Amino acid sequence: MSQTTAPTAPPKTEKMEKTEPRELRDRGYLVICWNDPVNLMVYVTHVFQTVFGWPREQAERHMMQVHQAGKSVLARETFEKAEHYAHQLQGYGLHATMERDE
Amino acid sequence: MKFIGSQKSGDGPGALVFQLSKQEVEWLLGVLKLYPQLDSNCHRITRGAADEIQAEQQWLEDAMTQRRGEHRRKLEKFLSTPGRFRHEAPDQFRFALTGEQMEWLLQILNDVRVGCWVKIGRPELEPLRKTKLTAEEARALSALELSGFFQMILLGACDGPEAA
Repeated sequence: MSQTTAPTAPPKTEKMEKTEPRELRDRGYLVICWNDPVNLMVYVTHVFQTVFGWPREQAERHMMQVHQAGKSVLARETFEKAEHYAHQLQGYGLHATMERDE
Repeated sequence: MKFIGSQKSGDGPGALVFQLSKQEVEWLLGVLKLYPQLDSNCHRITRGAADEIQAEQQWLEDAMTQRRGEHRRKLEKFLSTPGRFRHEAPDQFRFALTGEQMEWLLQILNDVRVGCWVKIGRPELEPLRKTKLTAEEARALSALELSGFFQMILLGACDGPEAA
């Protein structure tokens, strides 16, 4: 997500947060996949491709991040969409949750 | 078991065809018979404390229960279809999967894999393979490994005959 840069950055205020476009403000939920020792790496890649429609490279990148860093943020979405993705991923047996983007 | 190619189809992608031995048919049926292994209350919608997300926990469990019921019905119908495993030669059988069947079969196999892992206490797998197991652990580990074996072959077929 790109941001514009002002010549002099004013302090972050509540007013500024409220000026964030509604679409972005609503997309305040993260879909996170967590590592476990049981799901096969090729299976996780396949699930990411199927659920998100990602190309293989992108799916593998996230799979490797889960494997090496312990988790990967797969999407930042509205409540409903994040919940939909979490249900889909859990249906495939992945350890995926939705978390509020603080 | 190996992937041998796609069946010709008039419209849309053809079904994927697999060849397997009598022993592999028995293993596959044995693993599928274990479905479902995971309890719906194993699923967690969040690790955080946000109230509005916590409130959705029951819905997730209900959705997973419903999904398992649907998969079970599909599996029973699939396995009860006459000639599902076509006997072609001594110790050689064939069966075919559409793309849709492939997706739910992968989920079923993974449910058995993950469910067996949960039942033996979510261990790290590599050390477990080298330790003396109880009979229960050995059964669970066998089912877990066999599920993974079939998953790998199905996923290999998604990449085409060269990768399988």
